[in-house]
Amino acid sequence: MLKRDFLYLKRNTVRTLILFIVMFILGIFISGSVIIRESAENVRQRFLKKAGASMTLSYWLEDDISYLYYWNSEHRDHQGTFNEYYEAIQEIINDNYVIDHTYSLYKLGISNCLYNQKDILKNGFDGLEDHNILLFGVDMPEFIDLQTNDVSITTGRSFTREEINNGAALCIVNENLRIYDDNGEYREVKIGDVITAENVVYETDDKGLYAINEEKVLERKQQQLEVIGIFHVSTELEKNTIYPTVMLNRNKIYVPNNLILSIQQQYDEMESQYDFYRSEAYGSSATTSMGLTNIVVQAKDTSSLWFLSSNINDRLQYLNYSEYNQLPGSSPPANINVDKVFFSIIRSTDAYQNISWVLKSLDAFANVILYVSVTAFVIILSLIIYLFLKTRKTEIGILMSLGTRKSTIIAQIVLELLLIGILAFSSSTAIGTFIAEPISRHMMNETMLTEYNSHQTDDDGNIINKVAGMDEQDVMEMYEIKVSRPETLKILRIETGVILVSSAVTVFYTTRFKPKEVLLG
Amino acid sequence: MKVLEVKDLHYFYQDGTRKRVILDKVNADFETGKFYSILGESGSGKTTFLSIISALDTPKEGKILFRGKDIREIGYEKYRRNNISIVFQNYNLIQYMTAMENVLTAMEITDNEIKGNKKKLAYQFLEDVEIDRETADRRVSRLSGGEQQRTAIARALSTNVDIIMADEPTGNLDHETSEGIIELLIKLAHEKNKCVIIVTHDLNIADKSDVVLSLDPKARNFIRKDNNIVRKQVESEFYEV
Ligand SMILES: Nc1ncnc2c1ncn2[C@@H]1O[C@H](COP(=O)(O)OP(=O)(O)O)[C@@H](O)[C@H]1O
Ligand SMILES: [Mg+2]
Repeated sequence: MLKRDFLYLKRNTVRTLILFIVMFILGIFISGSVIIRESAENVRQRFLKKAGASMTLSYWLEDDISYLYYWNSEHRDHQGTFNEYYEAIQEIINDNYVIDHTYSLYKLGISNCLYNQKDILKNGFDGLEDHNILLFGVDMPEFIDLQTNDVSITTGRSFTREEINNGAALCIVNENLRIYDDNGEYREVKIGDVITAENVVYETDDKGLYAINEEKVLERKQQQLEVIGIFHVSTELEKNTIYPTVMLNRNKIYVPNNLILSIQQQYDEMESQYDFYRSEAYGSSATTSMGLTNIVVQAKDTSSLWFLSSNINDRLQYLNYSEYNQLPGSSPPANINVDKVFFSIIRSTDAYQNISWVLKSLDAFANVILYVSVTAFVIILSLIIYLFLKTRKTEIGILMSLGTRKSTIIAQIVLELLLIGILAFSSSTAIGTFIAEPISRHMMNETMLTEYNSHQTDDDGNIINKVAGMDEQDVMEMYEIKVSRPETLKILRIETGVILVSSAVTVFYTTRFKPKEVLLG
Repeated sequence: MKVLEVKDLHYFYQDGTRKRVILDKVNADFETGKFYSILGESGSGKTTFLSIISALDTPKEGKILFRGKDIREIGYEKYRRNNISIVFQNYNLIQYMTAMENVLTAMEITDNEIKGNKKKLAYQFLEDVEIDRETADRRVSRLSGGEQQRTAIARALSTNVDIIMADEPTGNLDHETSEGIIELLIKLAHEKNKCVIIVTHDLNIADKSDVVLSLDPKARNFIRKDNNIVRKQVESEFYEV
């Protein structure tokens, strides 16, 4: 039978060629679309793997919110709100679903003291553009700013795990920082220098405001910090991001988180001795309070992440004004922007939803091509096969008169088609890959530019989804056309399927075939 | 020896709602070693008869027995494959194949035992019908009518069957070539002990037959005649028309 197949194909070159070309084109369509689909799936998987199961919790204190608390007759001050949030966070990060987390505590007030009160400090410092120097806590030796290469330690070292846990009185400072040393000399900071931070409690007037010209110091306590490292700023945070403008890398003095906690405790103890009058608008000054940066929480897996984030959201959503707006019998004061979001969770998988849109459109495109081409080719191929069968009716009749089984004749014809198919498809798969690559890459790029990026920025055009740490270029890098064995098998299955379905016409034609009329007519 | 029996064969074509009876209770026996002619004027049902005994069509009633066994039971395909060969008026060879390949194809299809190298045998069968090797290797589309018909006869011989049926095998050939083909077929019957049944309207061919079965369109049946009187009988019928 195979011998006869080859003979037929060899002796009827025009027909063989026509079938070959049709199947070759079909093969390009099918392999192209399958490859695009598979590549999209690859990107999906790689993205999820790379993004991991992490989330970033952000909460930013602004004066507005403490005002709102007051207005809501809860009489909680700014620090009270913060403490409540901080407590909640402590519970969250100790959850079983969390495998790792990192955050920074920071303190602004003390840095003001450092700068403004340098005359009363042993080692005051200067030399930076913004004078809002802040103590910035870290909770691991390779802290985030180092990991992202935003800053690098040029001299000295980072903290050890132990120093971090103990809240050791050590710090890492900017290379541009200048201090007055013991001899009154103004110079660069060196490893081993000791600088002093100070907590100061000022007197306020009866409205809770500090005296502008003549601040009266009620009490002060000092904290010595030994310099163990000097850092260089490689990438400065863009202003106007989710961070307060003061929180520029160049203004940071890195210290262990636990040291900030103890400094804050020291301040709270000091302050509690004085009975401050609290104004309606402000509690204790924000500048004397402790702050908390974004918290990056690494969950066990994607489902843990979803579970955790929805729990947290339920619990802390009230920090947003709109929630307050829902309280019965209350409406926020006119000067407060109710729609502003103060608390937000960004999951690594949130970015996935954006990319998933891109991938879905790619997938849909490939599917349309696949289904349309399969349908079209089944029709075209069936027609061609039918036409060829009609011209072969004498041959079929002769084979029948010689006593060949109809099933054998059908098998022979289908085998002929499959033989051409093997040739056509093996060459078209290679070319299909070649063609799919630029098409899909182009499509992906286009959609990415319009869709992915628009989801990555807030209304002001700021990048909000740094957590996944992936921009469109990273995603494009994940896009790689490769034809693996299962994909090739899938392509072959579809192509064989098309041939077999089209061959139905052979079965139909042959079983209804009446040799008598053809041969004896 | 009796190889084929036709028993009460009834056949009609359906013309819309009307039945046109072509064969009505036809009986006939065929033996090996004899050359049979089915004689009849055009449209008398000769081809219809042949198509039924060659199992390219099935009877409406009655049966065909091959060596005493109903061919329906043998299986029509199997019967065609192993028990008979058919030679057609228009040769019916596979056009893209050479003469040899056409013969070889038939040998590959049959279940009958064929001893020896099939290709060699195919050339041998062709040589037996006076087709040399050079001609045997040409595609049949480039052969003359006579060569094609001889190829068809070689094909019929190659499968080692007892019965060879032919429908007007000389219908498309000139007189001289026809004579050769008929001689060949008669030789097959007498020398190779085949049962050769040919359908024809040619009285000369009928004249050379061992048995003539003349189809009477009115009776829709055979007027079976002994070889000696067939000519007269047919001629008298001829004159009557
Ligand atoms: N498929 C068919 N349908 C209807 N009538 C047919 C068909 N084939 C043949 N006939 C008719 O049956 C009769 C016998 O035909 P046929 O057996 O071919 O005659 P012959 O071979 O003797 O010329 C003719 O009248 C012919 O017209
Ligand atoms: Mg006829």
